[in-house]
Amino acid sequence: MKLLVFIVNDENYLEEILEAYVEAGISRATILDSEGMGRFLSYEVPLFAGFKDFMKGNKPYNKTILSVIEDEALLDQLVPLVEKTIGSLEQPGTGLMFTLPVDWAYGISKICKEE
Amino acid sequence: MVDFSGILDVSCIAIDVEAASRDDVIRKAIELLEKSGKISQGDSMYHDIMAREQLASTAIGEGIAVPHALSDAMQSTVMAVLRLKTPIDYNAPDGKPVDLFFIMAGPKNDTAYHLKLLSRLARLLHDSHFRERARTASNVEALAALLLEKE
Repeated sequence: MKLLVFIVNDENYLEEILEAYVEAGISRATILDSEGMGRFLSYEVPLFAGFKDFMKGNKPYNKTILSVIEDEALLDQLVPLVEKTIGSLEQPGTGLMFTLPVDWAYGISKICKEE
Repeated sequence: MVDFSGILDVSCIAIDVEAASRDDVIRKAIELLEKSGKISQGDSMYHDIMAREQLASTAIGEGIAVPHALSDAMQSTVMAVLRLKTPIDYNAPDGKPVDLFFIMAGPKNDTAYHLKLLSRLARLLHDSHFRERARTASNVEALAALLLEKE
């Protein structure tokens, strides 16, 4: 069982990304409003205001999608679908996806698994 | 971890400085850096620091300010420390007048290093004990030693 974390830099793609999730078999997720550290520092901490120029092109806010999945096989389907939408995640400014092992979960009615 | 040993020189620290304004403080810091041979284009550094101040005051509260800039005129990162005899108004977020100034400038292509130095400085300066020691340091050597202390 894994926790899949996807930080989506451009929230305009959220709808299409969630469609990709569902298509890949992930029908349960939690979406968080989030903000990059660089953006916060340069806009909210006056000492770092001089670094706003380095934030050009970055979106002010992003979305973080959390989902618990049964195994990583789902990723083989999800990643290509996501990259069709926003391009390669290796390109700067697209997003970051990673998984973490989940030791124990309680209160999840149905963990997303490959079908 | 980044520290100030590579950029801090006792000749660029001054205490009991008399300055009447923001402009005055920055100019005195630049004079110190020029006299010690750390910089040659003081005017450019002055303009870049003042341009940065126009974005937002670099005062961080509790009587501290960190005027800084990334500048085309800089070949390497430099630092000056000024402790004023009488605090001045510096548009601080807490409204308190400022007496401790940490002035930094570095080359434009060294953003990451500049950020690390600023962050370290900010962290040290958030510590009330550190601020008190900076205000009571009896000479420039003691003030330098405080900044260079290993954690």
